[in-house]
Amino acid sequence: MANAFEIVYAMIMFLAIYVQVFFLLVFFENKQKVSRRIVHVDLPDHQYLSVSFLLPVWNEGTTTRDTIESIFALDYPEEKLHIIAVDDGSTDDSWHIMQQYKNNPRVTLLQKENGGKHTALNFALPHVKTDLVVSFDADTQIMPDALKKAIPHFVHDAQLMALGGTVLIGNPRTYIQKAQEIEYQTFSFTKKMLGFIGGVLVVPGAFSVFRREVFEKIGGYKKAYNLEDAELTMRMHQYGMKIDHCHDAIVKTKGPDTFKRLYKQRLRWSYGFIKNMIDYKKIFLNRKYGNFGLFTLPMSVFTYVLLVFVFMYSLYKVSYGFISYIHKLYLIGFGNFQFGSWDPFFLDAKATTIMSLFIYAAIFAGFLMGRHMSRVTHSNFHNIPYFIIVYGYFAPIWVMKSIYDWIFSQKVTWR
Amino acid sequence: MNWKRYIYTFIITLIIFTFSLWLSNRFNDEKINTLRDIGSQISLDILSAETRFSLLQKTSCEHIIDQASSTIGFNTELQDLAARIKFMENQLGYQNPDVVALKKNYTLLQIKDYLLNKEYHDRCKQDVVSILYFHGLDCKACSDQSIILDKIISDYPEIRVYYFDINTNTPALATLSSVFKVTSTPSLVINDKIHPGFQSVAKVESYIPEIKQWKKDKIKAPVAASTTSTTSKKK
Repeated sequence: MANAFEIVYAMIMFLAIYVQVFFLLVFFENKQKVSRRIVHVDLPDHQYLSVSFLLPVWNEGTTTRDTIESIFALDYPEEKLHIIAVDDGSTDDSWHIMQQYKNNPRVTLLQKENGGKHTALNFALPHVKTDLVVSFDADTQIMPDALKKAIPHFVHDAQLMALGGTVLIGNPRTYIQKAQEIEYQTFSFTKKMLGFIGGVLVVPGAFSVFRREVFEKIGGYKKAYNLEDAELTMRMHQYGMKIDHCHDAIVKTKGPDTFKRLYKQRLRWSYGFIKNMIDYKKIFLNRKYGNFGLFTLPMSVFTYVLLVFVFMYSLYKVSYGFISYIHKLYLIGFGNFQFGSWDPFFLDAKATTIMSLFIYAAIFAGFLMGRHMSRVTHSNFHNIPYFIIVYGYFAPIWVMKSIYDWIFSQKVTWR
Repeated sequence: MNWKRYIYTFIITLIIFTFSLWLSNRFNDEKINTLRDIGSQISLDILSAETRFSLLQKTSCEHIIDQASSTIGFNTELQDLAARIKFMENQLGYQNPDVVALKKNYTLLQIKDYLLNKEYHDRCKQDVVSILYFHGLDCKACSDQSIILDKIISDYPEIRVYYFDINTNTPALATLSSVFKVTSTPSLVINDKIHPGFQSVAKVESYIPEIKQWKKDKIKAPVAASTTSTTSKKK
């Protein structure tokens, strides 16, 4: 009865349900930990650890000032906050704008030849004198309470080596940004779930906190196909370092505003992921590396397969429908189409359709929980269609392009 | 490492997977049953029409024509049943035993309806035009031919199209095919004459002399008039 396609389809469905059920189980195991009802108790000031923000700057003069101001505006003991801003060979007025902080004892200004983000970060690392290091993006705004939410995790857990923060899109303006707003909220759920099982995929370069000793033990950043944060995360997993995700330490980034920019960013992400994944392939499905090797990496690879599969399948369906329509026009001309009245009999009742409904429902539930956890209160449900269009129809394109680039090893520019 | 979570997830996934299969089967069974009910209703209607026909042997054709609209009006129901069977075929695959059984039953109903119409046509000299359409699997021109016939039906409600899948394995269909010497698909049989191969709208119209008559006469045959009046109501 069943042909090869149906068997592949059923297997993909099974795995897709597996992933969603896995996340839901993790959620129900840890439900109370993400409840908004948890009362946050501040530590006494002297218990907070000292923190250095690493701020690589490359032609981002104006946003750099806003970023530094947002760090100073943090609700955190003042004497424990430091900023190390590195001008990575900017060709605009970035260095000039940074000079206004030159007399501020809490700001260290560095300048170097342009060499890429990872070189800027490594250039700053030897200047770190604090207990913790925060990796941070110049185009990112940090919520005032983010550090007070994040740092106690390090105080209470001596084993914790790195903590990823929640990155959201602030004030989305374009449709592309609105689509990303939904995406980031949905992923804040999966990130937190991966945090619970010690399987964080990436501690985001935009905002994450490390113990200084991490870099002393395993070295600094690598070029890593322009995806230095993902590589560092994999390396930390390789050394068995504990990584968690902090859902209520929130930063807001702008995100690419046009499709072209989004495409470039995502091509860099998916290409970098594939290449780093190959470099660390011994982690893949290796139980020595716990849930990261057994669940996170296979799940990420599977997500790529799923995206491409769903895309190809719907592309086939849509183009087939389109061609039939044109053919029908050719045969009998316009004005000869009958639209039958709606009859529940003609509803699709295939098993795979019912399974898809379950998967969509689970993703939507994840989106709702992600909103809840990252304290999103404004309504943005009307942006969901943008998300579906951008990620259903365009994400597979950059995924396929990155697979193509990987196979034919083409270079991907950083931005 | 929490192995239990992996195992529990597997079990729950298996349950959801099986549940989806079961639910899908239930829905489809229900639909198949609906189709069986429609089929047996049509079969009952045909039987009743045949019986009345036999009873009215001795009466005049006017009497039958008076009642024609109520007795010989299965065509739309048959067409509706065909659309539903087609849908189920897409959902379950053409090899599904339920679909195969439904198609057999449907084929027989069509042949009976065709014979009844033919008798009505011959005895009462009414313009009831039937098109027998033989189609098959893996026949590219057949999907085109179906589109053409859909157009014909919507333009001329007085024409009846009977769809025969030549792969349907029933002796009655084999006999019907051999009577009209159907050897390939698509083939149309109009007024007892076979036209093999794809036929465009214009060609099909040219095989039906009655169409010219219908176009000329504003006053159509009673059957035609009754059907057109219902379609005009829809508009």
